[in-house]
Amino acid sequence: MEEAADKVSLYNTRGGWVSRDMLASITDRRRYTWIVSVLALIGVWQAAAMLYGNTFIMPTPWMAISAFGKDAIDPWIHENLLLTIRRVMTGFGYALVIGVPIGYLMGYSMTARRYIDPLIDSLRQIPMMAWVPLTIVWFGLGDGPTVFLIAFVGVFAVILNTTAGVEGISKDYYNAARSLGAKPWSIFAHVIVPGSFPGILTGMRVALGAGWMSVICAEFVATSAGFGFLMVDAQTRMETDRLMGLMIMGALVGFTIDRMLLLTSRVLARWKVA
Amino acid sequence: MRLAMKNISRVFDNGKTKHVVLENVGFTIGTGEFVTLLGPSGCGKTTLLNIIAGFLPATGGTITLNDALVTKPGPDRGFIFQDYALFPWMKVKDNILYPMKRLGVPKAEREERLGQLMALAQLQGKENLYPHQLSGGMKQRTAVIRALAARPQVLLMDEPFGAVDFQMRMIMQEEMEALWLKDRTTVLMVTHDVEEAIYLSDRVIVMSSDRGRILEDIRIDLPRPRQRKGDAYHHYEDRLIDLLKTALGTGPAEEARGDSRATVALASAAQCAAEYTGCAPQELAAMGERA
Ligand SMILES: Nc1ncnc2c1ncn2[C@@H]1O[C@H](COP(=O)(O)OP(=O)(O)O)[C@@H](O)[C@H]1O
Ligand SMILES: [Mg+2]
Repeated sequence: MEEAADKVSLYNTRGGWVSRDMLASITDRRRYTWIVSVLALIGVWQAAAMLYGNTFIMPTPWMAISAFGKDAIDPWIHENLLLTIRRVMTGFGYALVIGVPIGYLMGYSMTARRYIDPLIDSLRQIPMMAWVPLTIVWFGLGDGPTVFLIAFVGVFAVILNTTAGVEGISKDYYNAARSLGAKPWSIFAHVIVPGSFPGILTGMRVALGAGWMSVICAEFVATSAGFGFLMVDAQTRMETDRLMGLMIMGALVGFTIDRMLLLTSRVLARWKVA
Repeated sequence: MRLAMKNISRVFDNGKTKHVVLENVGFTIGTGEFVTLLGPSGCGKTTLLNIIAGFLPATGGTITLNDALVTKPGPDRGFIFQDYALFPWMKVKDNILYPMKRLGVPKAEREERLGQLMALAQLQGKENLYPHQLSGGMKQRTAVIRALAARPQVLLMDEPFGAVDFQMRMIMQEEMEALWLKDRTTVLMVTHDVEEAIYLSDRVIVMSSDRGRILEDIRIDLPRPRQRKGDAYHHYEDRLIDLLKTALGTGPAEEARGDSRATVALASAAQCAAEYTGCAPQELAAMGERA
């Protein structure tokens, strides 16, 4: 009978490999189509640039890419990019520190949820960018408004996903822990925290993504340094090719941040069924 | 060890109507017994077991374990969940060490007991796997030894073979018997499967859909390890199948409800069909094994 049990496990493991292979082939195919799409986009872009014949309004792809290449090795660009990333990380940190405990509370206690839900819902109705003038009044120009905004957009994602993570923990795990001698602290540390972790990781990904998107917007107006400021700077100098190069850089940085977090989740939540 | 249920009642309040699932249910279990609570689906088995575990309060009555009143979950009553409820974020060994850590077992002793339990369940070498990497049978055995790690007085099992297919179910029943014969912790198991009840139990208590009323308390006098054949075995089977029909049948409460009579008759027919189709292949498989 041991043999039969082992057969099942072997089958399961192989099942895992098979599906992973399938996944790899799907990604391969996707990478391939991705290249085709990008080439098509560049083609259309090139055609539009030639049609316009005005490199201020529509620089050629090559101009944007070579501007990007120059910026990629420019220390001044690095400095501003790092400043923006630091703002994102700081705001993200606040979002976590505030959002995770609130999420735990809301996921665990229906009563807490009833009080906090309307609050969150009404705050969320205010368009994010509508906060910018007020935050400039509060914090002045510079880090304050940007960090506030990143924290603010992030905190909802963290709260929502943490709450969902806690709610998703089967009641059986609580009961199992209690009948195995667990006190409330152990239920928190060994059931709620690990059980909601995948949810929190999802929240982190969404929060970082939203943070990166909104920080640039905030930097257009609320600061005189940072990646968003660089873009406004390129615009006022009428360097449209650099502006587009920076847009490409923004996309690449956002993509890298997301992939890094995805990789971290895969490692940290290895126990989740693959 | 003495686990005594006395006049247990449980009413579910569904807004307008009150659903009396259990009324004055009582029985007692002694040391080392493997007792099965057999009853049709929906008769209140899970409800009763959850009350005994302390997961759910009773509306009336008392449960005592060695004369101490049971009010909340505790390590004196181990629980095996239908889908095992192994902590998926802990490796197999951490799942098993978990109750010992909670109960303050010293480290050296913990490690030693871990080794013993892994051997008992024939799981050596699987210590560092996560539950999702185990087969159904291994998960089941892990769940049993995790519960045993807390050194409970009694193991409560809610349809522990309910989630698997027929072949696996028989294999797991055999594994369960083998494990239990080595350990002999008192067990109270819940099932709706006649064959399973006979195969594993020293005693089968038949519960009725009518407020959980206990219809019979039958001792299964068969040598262990059990064989799924022989006159005595089939005699028990026939008797319990008849009893289950009665268990589903219309008691006074059912007649009072009236409207549910058709449903009950239908359910009864379905149950019988399931039971009979369940029997034939089991015998065939048992014979096949022998040949
Ligand atoms: N939380 C609940 N609220 C209302 N009714 C319930 C609840 N839990 C169980 N019941 C009802 O109690 C009866 C017995 O359920 P259960 O104990 O799960 O039966 P079994 O385990 O024997 O199949 C069923 O009719 C079910 O609908
Ligand atoms: Mg049940």
